[in-house]
Amino acid sequence: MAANYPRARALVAGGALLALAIGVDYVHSGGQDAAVSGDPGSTASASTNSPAGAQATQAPAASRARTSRAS
Amino acid sequence: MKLARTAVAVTLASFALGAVLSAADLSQLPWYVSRASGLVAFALLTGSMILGLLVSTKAADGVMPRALVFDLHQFMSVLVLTFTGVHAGSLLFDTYLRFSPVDLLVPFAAPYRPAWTAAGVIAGWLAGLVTASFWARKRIGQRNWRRLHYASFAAYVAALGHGIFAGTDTGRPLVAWLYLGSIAAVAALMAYRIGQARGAHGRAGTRRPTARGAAGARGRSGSLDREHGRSQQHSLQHPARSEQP
Repeated sequence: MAANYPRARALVAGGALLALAIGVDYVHSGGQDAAVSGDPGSTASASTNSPAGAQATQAPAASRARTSRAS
Repeated sequence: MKLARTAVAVTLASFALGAVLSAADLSQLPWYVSRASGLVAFALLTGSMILGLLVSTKAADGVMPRALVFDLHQFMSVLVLTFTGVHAGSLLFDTYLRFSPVDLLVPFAAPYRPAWTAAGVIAGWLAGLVTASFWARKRIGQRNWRRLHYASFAAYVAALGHGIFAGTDTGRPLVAWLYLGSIAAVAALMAYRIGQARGAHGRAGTRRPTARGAAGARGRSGSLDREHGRSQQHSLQHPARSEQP
């Protein structure tokens, strides 16, 4: 792929990497918010000993459980 | 100039590293990276769709060179695949959901929300197919390449459904605005594109000569139908094709 506009491409790629970094921070902080605000899903941390298959099918609850563990 | 680029790259890398380290519990890192890279991949897909529609509608012609828009459209398509790879690949390292490579590559194989996860898998495959077609255009021909490009709309819809219904951040304001903004921008440009195509059809219809007139026209200065067909085909073709290698 010939880069006809290398600066524009570098700008886009850099912006995407920056967005990834900001995004990681954003979703991480969101996890803390959910746990702190007493989101009902965060109580699902009690089910973290359930089998892996059950965890996998309890999507949002599982995600909130993991964020409450993180905090 | 090289020094400036290196400085920018190092700065960006340090931002990324900082964010990574700020996610203190590294066991959660694959999960955070997967969610963030999925959102970035969708934002890039939206950008690529918008740029592609700007090329085909010529709506950005007065603002920036069409070759630049096409170049970024193509480059963003590659970035979409890259970030989709990070999105899916990081789940392999997640110790909680325990996705296998088969779960990530085969639709409906994953236990987590099978339908919407499958939508994401299908979107990834379609995006890969459309992106690969950039390099196969000469081999498959312009018409087939354009037809294949319509799969990008299916990929977009599938990715949107995957993000909204399989994602765990849909309810968060920034993410909700990302989806709403994306839908609004892509829908508006698609409506504009369809309006253009209908307009071209309408103009061709009103100017179509009768059989007798066409026979006369053919005799005088060539076929008007052929001319209309050519101009209509021209308006529907990817305008930047002649500017690309």
